[in-house]
Parts: sequence; C-alpha cells; structure tokens
Amino acid sequence: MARKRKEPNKTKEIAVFLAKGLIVLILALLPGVLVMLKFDPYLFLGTQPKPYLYIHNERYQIPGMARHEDYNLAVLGTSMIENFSDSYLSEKFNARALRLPINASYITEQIKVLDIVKKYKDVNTILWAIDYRTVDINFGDVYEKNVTFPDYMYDENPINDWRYIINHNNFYLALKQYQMRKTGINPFDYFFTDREVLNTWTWRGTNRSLIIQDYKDIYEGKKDLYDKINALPVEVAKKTIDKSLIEAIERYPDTEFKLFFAPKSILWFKLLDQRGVLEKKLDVLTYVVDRASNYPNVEIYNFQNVFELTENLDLYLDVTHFNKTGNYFMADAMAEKRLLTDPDSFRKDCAELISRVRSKEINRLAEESLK
Amino acid sequence: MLFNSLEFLIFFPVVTLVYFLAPTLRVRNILLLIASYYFYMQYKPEYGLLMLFSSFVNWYAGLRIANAKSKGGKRLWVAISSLSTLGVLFFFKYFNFFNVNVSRLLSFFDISYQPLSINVLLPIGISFYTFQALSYSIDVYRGALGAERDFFDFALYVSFFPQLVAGPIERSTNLLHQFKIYHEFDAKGAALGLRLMVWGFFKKIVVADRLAVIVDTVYNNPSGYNGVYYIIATVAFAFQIYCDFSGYSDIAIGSARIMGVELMRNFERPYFSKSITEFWRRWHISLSTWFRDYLYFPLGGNRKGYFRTLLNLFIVFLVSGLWHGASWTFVIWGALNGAAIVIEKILGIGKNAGKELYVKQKALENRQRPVLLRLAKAIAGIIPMLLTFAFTCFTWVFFRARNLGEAFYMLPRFLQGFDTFNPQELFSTRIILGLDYWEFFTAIGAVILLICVELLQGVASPGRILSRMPSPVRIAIYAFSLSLVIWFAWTETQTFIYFAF
Repeated sequence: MARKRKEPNKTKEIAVFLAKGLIVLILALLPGVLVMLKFDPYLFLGTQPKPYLYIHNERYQIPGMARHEDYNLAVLGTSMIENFSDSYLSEKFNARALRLPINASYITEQIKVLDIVKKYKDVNTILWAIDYRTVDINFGDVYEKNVTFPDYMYDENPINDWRYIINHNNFYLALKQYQMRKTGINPFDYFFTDREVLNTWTWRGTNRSLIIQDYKDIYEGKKDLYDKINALPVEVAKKTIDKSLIEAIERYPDTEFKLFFAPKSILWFKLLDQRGVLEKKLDVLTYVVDRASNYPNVEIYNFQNVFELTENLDLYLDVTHFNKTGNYFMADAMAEKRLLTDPDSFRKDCAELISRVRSKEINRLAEESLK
Repeated sequence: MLFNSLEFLIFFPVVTLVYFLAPTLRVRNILLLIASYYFYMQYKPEYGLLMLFSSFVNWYAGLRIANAKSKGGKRLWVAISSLSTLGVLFFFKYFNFFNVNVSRLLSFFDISYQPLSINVLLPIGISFYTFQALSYSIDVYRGALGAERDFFDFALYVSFFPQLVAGPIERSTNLLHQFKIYHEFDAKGAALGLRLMVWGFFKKIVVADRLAVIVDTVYNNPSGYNGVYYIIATVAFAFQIYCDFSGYSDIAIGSARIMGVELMRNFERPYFSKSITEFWRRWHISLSTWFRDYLYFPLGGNRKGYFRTLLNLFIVFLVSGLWHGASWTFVIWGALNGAAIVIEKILGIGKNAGKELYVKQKALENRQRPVLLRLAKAIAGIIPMLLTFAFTCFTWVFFRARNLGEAFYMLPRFLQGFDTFNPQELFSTRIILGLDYWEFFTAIGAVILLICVELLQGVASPGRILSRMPSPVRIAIYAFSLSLVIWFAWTETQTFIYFAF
C-alpha cells in the first residue's frame, strides 16, 4: 500500500490524453450542432431559414414562436384557442395576432409563455382563455400526465439551451426539415408551412353524433371526465389564481388582458353537474372575475352562457371542443366588447347556467344522448 | 443509476478523477467503495444493506473457512455462506414463484393451500452480486485463493460499480487482487476503455433501445399482429437483448479499464456461432463459466459417465433459465437450450467450437488453404449459423413473452400472414411498429453497422487496426463513432433488461 508519486511524464501523458479527448468530443459534437444551428427545427434559436416550417408539438414549438414571430397581440390558453384564426383576429383587432396554445396546459405553463411574450415582444393585448381545470391545481403544477414539459425552453437560462441543441429528436427534425427544403416533399405532413392551420383541428370535423358519443362514454365511465381535472379544495384553486393570474396581471400593468370563459358544450356542464362539481367550478371562475375585475387593464368575457353555441351540438367534436364557429363568435364579441362580464353579471350568468343545465330540455337531451 | 443517464455522465468522470487523485491505495479503495454504494443505492437505498449483508457473510465465512482446522468446519462455513446468500436470493426472487407452484401442486392432490406472497421489489442486480460473492467463499473452500482479510476490499469486490448490477460476474481470483494494486493512469488503457464504452453505448442507446419499441409493440399485443410481425419482432428482440446486455458489459469493462481494472470478457460475437454449444461459449460467458465451475463440476461434470454428463448439462441449463427469472417462461427457455446442448453433445456438434485455442488453431489452418476453398468454407458456414440463429430466436420467444400463454399463442402462428403481408404498406406509414419511420430505418442501419463491425472483429482486432493508423485518422474515427452515439441515441431512457435478473 505504498504511496505512489506521479512522474513528470505522467502529467504530460494525462494532458495529451485529455486534449485528444476534448478534440474528439468537439469533432463529434460539431456536425450535429451546425445542423441544429442551421435548421433550428422549433425556431427556438431564431436561426431557422424563412419560410418557417412549423411542427405540431405545442410545448416545444410555442416558446420559439413567442420569441421570434412578428406580432403584437397574443392569444394564450389551451386547446380552446387552437381554432382561432390569426389573420381574422388581426383584422378584427387591427393588430398582428399570434395564437400560442398549449393543449391541456395549466396556468403555470401559460404564464411562462406570457413572460416570454412580454420579454421579447412589444405586445399590448393578450387574449387569454381561462379554464377551470387550468387553475384547479397546486400553485406551480405543470401538466405532465402524458407529456413531458420542456422547462429548458422556457427558463431563459442559456446554459440549459444545450438540451435543445444536443438533442437527438431535434436533430432528426432538423434533418427532416433539410429533406423537405431540398425535395419539397413534406413527409407524412410532418411540417406546417401555413401558420394559420398550425395546431388547429378543424380537419377532424364536428357533429352531433360525436359529442353525444363522447358524453355517453364519459357518463358510462368508458372515458374519464377527470382525466385532466384535479379535485382540490376551492381554497387551493383560489390561492393559485392569486399567485399566478393575478400576479401576472399586476406584473404587466401596461398590457390589456382580455380574459374569457370559452363556450364549452351544455353536455359538459351537465356532466359536471352530474358529478356534483358544477357549482365548485363556477365558484372558482367567480373568484377569477371578482379578483381580476379590480384591475383597469382587464376585461372579462363570458361565453359559457351563449346557449345558441353551447346547445348547438353540431359545432362540437366532443363535450368541450367547439369548431371555428365558436372562435369567430368570440373574436367578434371581444373586438366589439360584447358579452363583457363583471362580478354581479357573472353571478347572474352562473345562476342562469345552473338553471339551464337542470332544465327539462337539457335533462331530455342528456337522456336521449344515453340511448 | 443507469449507465445511459445524465447522472452517470457526471458521476463517472468525477469518480475517475477522484480515483486517480487519491493519494493512497487505501483511500482510493474506500472512495471507490463509497462511490459503488452511492451508485447502487440510487435505485433503492435500503437494498444497499442487503448487499452489505451478503458481503459481510461471505467475507466472514471466507475467514472462518481459511481458519478452520477440519474439513467439517470448512464445510460448515461454506454451507452457511451458501445458504444465507442463496437464501436472500430465494426470498426476494423466488419466494412467490415457489409458493404459487407449491399451491398448484398441492391443489392437484386436492390439498388446499393459500400461497404466501411477499410484495417487495426485486433488488436490482441481486443475482449478479450474490453469485459473485458466493464464488469467493467456494474458491476459498477449494483453496483456489486465501481468505481476504480486509473487509473494505472485499466489499469493493462485491460492489464494484461498473459490473455491479449486470455483470460480468467476476471471480475473486481475477478481480480481488486487482484492488491491491495502485493503478497509474494509463492513456492506452483509458483510450481502450473509452472505445469500449462508446461501442457499448452505441449498442444500448442506438440499437437496443430503438428495437425495444418494435419488440414491445408486437409482444405486448400479440393478438394484434400475425406471424410476419412476430418474426420481425423476435429477430429485433434477438438483437435488442444482445445489444442491451453486451452493451452493458462493454460499458462496464470499458469504465473499469479506464481505472486500470480488467474485467473478464462476457460476449464474443455470439450470433456468429454455428451451434448452440458454441453460442453458449460466446454468450454471457461469465455466467456460463460460473455455472460450469460451481454447478456442473460439483454435479460430477463429465466424470460420472455419459448419461450423467448429459443430465448434468441439462440441469445446468434448467437452473440457468431459472436464474434469469422466476417464471416458467425462463425455465422453458433454459430447458430448450439444455435440450439442444444435449442433442448436440450426442451428435458431436460444436465440441470444440468457441474454445479459444481451438479457434486459433483453426484460424491458422485456414490461412494455409487456398482462397477459394476458404471462401467456400465461409459460405458453407452460413447455413449452420443461420440455423443456430433461428433456434436461438425460437427460444427467445419464451424469454420475451409476457407469459407462457402468450408464447404458446404466438408460436403456432409464426408462419401465418405471409400471404397478406405487404412490405410497401408497412414501410409507407409514418409510424412503423411503434417507431417513427426515420427511427425505424435508423434501427435497421444500426443493426447492419453492428453486423459489419462484428464481421470485421472476426477478421482482425479493431484495436490493432486503429493503433496502426496515424493519430489524426484515429481521432477522426473516434469522433465519428462518438457522434453516432450522441446524435443517433434513442433519448427515451430505458433500463437494461438484465437489471431485472
């Protein structure tokens, strides 16, 4: 067990070894890094050549778009905002609009997007779909039940950007993009060249039979209504609203926030009522209205009570997802400042909604749907 | 901690650096021991105690065996160490399997018995380190080596992190004494180690993890596919398990080599075998030789007559099957291999194949022959090679199937579906058997590259070829290999298959 002393040439041997190792590592990384810098598949670095090729993978695509697209009106939210048309919104609001949806996201992720928007762009209007399930969370929770949220793309820490650059999946996307740019062939419709159709799902079509089947499946327990919904005490949701939404509003007083509650179908509300959570949901949204309406830079729109939409089942893909008709309606209403709500009117709306959900017509609709 | 994790990419360089900076051998070994336990306890900290227990029992038994005056005393202590070590293995790995089968057996005789069941997670690598620890006590009993006085060195021998959870199952005669040497940094050895690691990572994260998706897609839903897909998935599994396990071994051997420790070879291009006998001389060599030395020989080996030899061979493979897992699928897998070995023994097939000296002599003889004859011989060798591979794939069905029912569901259907199979249709979809089309073709390309490299290894040592190249060319080749691993790695981290054994 004698102590050994390192000979001087040993040090040289180690130094040469490490130098060679470093050269090997740099050479190994270089080609891939250059490909990534050149093609930047998610537009994260802002180096992607124009025209942009988009990928339908919102959690990865949105941060790059928020940083590098040209816009001054942003739309935040979940799948409820996916079917908006940027050009229609731009025309209606006389602005350059950009949808930034993250499907199934919680408010935590949406605020990360908001922070990027505000840091990189001179955006003065935010349309923001506020959904009960996005705030029924513990503060800071991120939706990761079926997906992994790429925090490193949102954290504004350049050290973490290596995870984007040295990443096999992104490298393959860069190669696929190269293939498409070279051949003009879009393999399996992988890429979207038209931002208008990116993240939309209008191609799937909507009709009454789809939503009725969805309602039936959920009612009979074949699908889980609560798949993306927590069942936390109301106080938890209220605390989350304060610490996320309200703090964000306070953080950006120069920005006009147009919060809205999207027109989910009447069968959705019926299911919530059947499960005994409708009142809790409305309590949570009432709290949003109570708190947010105190700020002069906030407008709140309620589309939950637009029964000509919510009871027109042909507009729906399932119990929550409506087609573009719903989005056009909301765009028009917000541009014209119709259906604005405040604490008093929202309470009335809630009472009316509960009464409607429990009405004979809706009971009959629900019963017929189960046949 | 997984080799294919970011944690390991930080852990390993740090440990290596500290290892070479440690001023004395004693400090170095203790640091390595701490690092090994840290590595292992990342899975489940309490199982570190189990390993400590096995280490202590075998170390203490080794001392008592060495000090025992009588043969009886030695026997007693080797029995204590064997029973306690195997007892732990039995409890965690076989208790439920044993109870369920006892219950089934008793119910056959109309005796009611409610099987006991324990709900514990199988400690990762338990079959590996218990066998390694056990071989030490037996070797001391046999007088193959003296007892180790230093508990820390012995605990390091059992827990040495590169080969701890999936082998190679080292022998005390090979490994223990290496911890008594203060290994200086050796650039050539380190380069060799890194080369092996890169090759191991290629096998694991470029080949095996991709193929796993194809295999899982079919094997987790056998009724959704037909024979053509069973064949694709089974061939994919043959390469998956080989690349997964030999990839681990390469990383283990490579990382140990960087620290100056030489581990035994575990795989020798097994799919180039021309018989099952040869296959088992090239596949999981450390386990095969363990069973040879500690089960086959004690059973009498080939010294107790022809039929006893055949029976002993069969028993060894049956136990080997059970070693892989507490399930009848593994037992049948072992039995099939055992039966094949017995048949080959009777027919005299593969008697010397795969044995090192024989292979060298044959290679020498081969070189004397005319080129055309050599070529003809090589081509003729492809047929037994393919037959061996086909039989191996057949046995893999039992190894991979989730249960016996599914294995027996799939086997009769292997030749169905060829009439309706349309390769163009299969390859014209975006997702092919669970993989994105680019990933699918990457997997195929990677398997082809693997076969090419192994063919090359059969002709000449890549290490020797590389050493004769000018340094810039060598650096370029290393960089290219590393870039394949970095840029073509399957990034959804999967654990190693053999961790479960």
